[in-house]
Amino acid sequence: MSIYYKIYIAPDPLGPWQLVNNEPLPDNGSAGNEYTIENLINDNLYYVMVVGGTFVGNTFTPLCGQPIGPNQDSGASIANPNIIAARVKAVAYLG
Amino acid sequence: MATVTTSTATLGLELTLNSLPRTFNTDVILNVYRRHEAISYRSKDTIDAANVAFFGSKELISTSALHIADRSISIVTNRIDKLDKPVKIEDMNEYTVPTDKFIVTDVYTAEDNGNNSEALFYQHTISIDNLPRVSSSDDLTIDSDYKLTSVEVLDINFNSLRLDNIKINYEEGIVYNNLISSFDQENDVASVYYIRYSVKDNVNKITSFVELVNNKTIFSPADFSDLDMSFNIIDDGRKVYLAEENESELIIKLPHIGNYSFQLLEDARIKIIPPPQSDVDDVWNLSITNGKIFNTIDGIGYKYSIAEFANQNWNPEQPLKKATLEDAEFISENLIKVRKENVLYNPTISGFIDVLVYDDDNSPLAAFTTNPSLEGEVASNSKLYEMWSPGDKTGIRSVDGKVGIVDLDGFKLRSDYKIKASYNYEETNYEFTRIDFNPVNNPDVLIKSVSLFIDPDSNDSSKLKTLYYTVADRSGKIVKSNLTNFSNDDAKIRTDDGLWRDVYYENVPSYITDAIGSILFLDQYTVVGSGVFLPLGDVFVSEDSHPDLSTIIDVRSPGGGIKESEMDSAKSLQQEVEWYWDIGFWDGIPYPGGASYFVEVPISLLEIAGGVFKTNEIKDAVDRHTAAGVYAIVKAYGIDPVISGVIPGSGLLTIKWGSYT
Repeated sequence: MSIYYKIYIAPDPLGPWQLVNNEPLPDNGSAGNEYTIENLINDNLYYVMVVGGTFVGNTFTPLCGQPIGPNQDSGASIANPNIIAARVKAVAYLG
Repeated sequence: MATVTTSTATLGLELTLNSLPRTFNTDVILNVYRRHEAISYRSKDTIDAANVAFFGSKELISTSALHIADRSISIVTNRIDKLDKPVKIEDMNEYTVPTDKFIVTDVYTAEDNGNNSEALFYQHTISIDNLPRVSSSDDLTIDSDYKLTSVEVLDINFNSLRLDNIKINYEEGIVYNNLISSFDQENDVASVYYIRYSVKDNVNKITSFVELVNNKTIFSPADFSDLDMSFNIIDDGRKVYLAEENESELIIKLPHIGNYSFQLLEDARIKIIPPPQSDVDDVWNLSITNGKIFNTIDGIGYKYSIAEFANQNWNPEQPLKKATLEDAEFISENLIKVRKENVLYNPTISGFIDVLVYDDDNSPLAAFTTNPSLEGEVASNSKLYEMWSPGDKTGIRSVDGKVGIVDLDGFKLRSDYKIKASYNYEETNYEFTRIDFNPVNNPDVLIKSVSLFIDPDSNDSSKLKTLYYTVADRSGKIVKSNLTNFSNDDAKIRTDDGLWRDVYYENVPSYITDAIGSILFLDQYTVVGSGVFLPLGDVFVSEDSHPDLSTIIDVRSPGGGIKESEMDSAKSLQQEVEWYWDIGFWDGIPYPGGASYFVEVPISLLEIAGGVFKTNEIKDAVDRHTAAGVYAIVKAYGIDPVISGVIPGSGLLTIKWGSYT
């Protein structure tokens, strides 16, 4: 199973979350993964989230924090604890 | 099957159906789970409403629902108590009384009329059919072929009573006594007296008879035949009196100088009398005792009486009325109580009584009469009238006319029989028919108090109308009256100064803040204050049963329901349809109060992550093991990228995370 990643960014942990990469990023294997988000405003604090999932055809299905059950918002990945907050060009806070 | 329409009545908190549109059909609606604390009708059902239940309590009857606050003793001369002892006058032939309701006698238990001798006011005359007299006139001397040999008094169970206070006249067949039978219908307690006597005829055959004590007063008012040319009472032993009325009292003149005892009667007091025990099918009319009382206020004599008394539906003439097929009450196997007292039981003046008996299914059982011309005729219940005689002892054996008790012989009554009686009776009361106090017929009386009072005559007046009423609302403000100076349109009274004012009956409640200029009726117009009206009493109608004593009977049966195809539509139109227990829940909709929990399962179980389960299969498996009413929130875990680093730059952030593989 191949895993792909989508990266989101938001000014606040409650959103709104904005997708950074329209094309899901393939897993890079043991070398680890890295992605640079550009065109940010200096000194602003951003929250960054990485969501893993499958990508078949043109459909990305998130697998982290996957909600199971009817009528539940698949955007529940917002609750993903792996969010990092970083101030551009200034101080980074590791979560 | 019923169609719920916009006109369907509101049946209660659970069943507000009246907002469903007329076009919405349901299969009916008889299956609401009983919530007895809430089901009650707030309005009358319309013809297309479903009767789902009824709320029961003790039968609504006049004796328990009608309350009378007696004010008739507001003047001293109307305070007559039955416990007041007789007044004895000696060597006199004239006495003054404050009312025309009295009895007088010159018969005592002992001949010497001494202090130990008791005055006897009533006489029972033994039946002239069983004990023939010399003539059919007023002369009661016993026919010389017959002899009265023994007399005794029996109680309701025919046990002999040893009484000191009776006196027997064996020459005329008269028993002097003070025995008054009674029947307390509400408590089903009867006290009844019989006379048992033996008659020996000219062949020395002795026959015993039993009859109810049927008392009459020993003295009665004189009529013209009792007076001589000078309008004095003919003094030949007749027991009559003349009553002369002056401006402030009644002067009673007796036949000759002697010893007499006077007793004022309790019903001499002019007062309100409740209707006989009546149910909601009857008219509940109050009566007021007829009578005259005198009272002096500020040196002026006033006479209080019911002028309207003479203006009643007499039949055949005053003071008689006719009761036709009235319900009578069962007392015992042989006794019934008719509704009225002072029943006319005297064949010589057409004082006949008819009694029809039906079983509890209304099948006629018997017809009895005291009228010889009806004997053998077909009664209205299709039975032939039977009449009691010494040879055929089936029928009405005797009658206590004073109390209204009828004694049947040769026929056993049962308490579930329906008994109807027709008779004439002497009306002693004025029946107040302007207001029906039956709250089913006249709901207006329920939150009102109705007060009756008398406008007296003075020396120079002779009013045709003296009885008036006021109706006060819950605050005590008079809103209706037949007083001539009261405007029913404005609910105001015109006072002597010509102003129209609000009038409160007794006081102004503290929460009324705009009562300036109003007056108090009792203070202003009645003898309680500075007026001359005699207040008789205040009448209230209310249910007196405690809610705990109420019974709720649910007459609905499970079944029916809203058509399944219409269910969603019904719910969307009115959510209350879920209150039907077979649609919603047995006793309401359960809401888990915070009962939810969080379940995490490995993402590798899911097909999308290489596993074998679909998401709904995981959810179903979790729900199967979850307590009812508890909500499981399920999430998968396992491909959660962990951000391992972030490198801020100018206008950019570089993030790093590890590989899933």
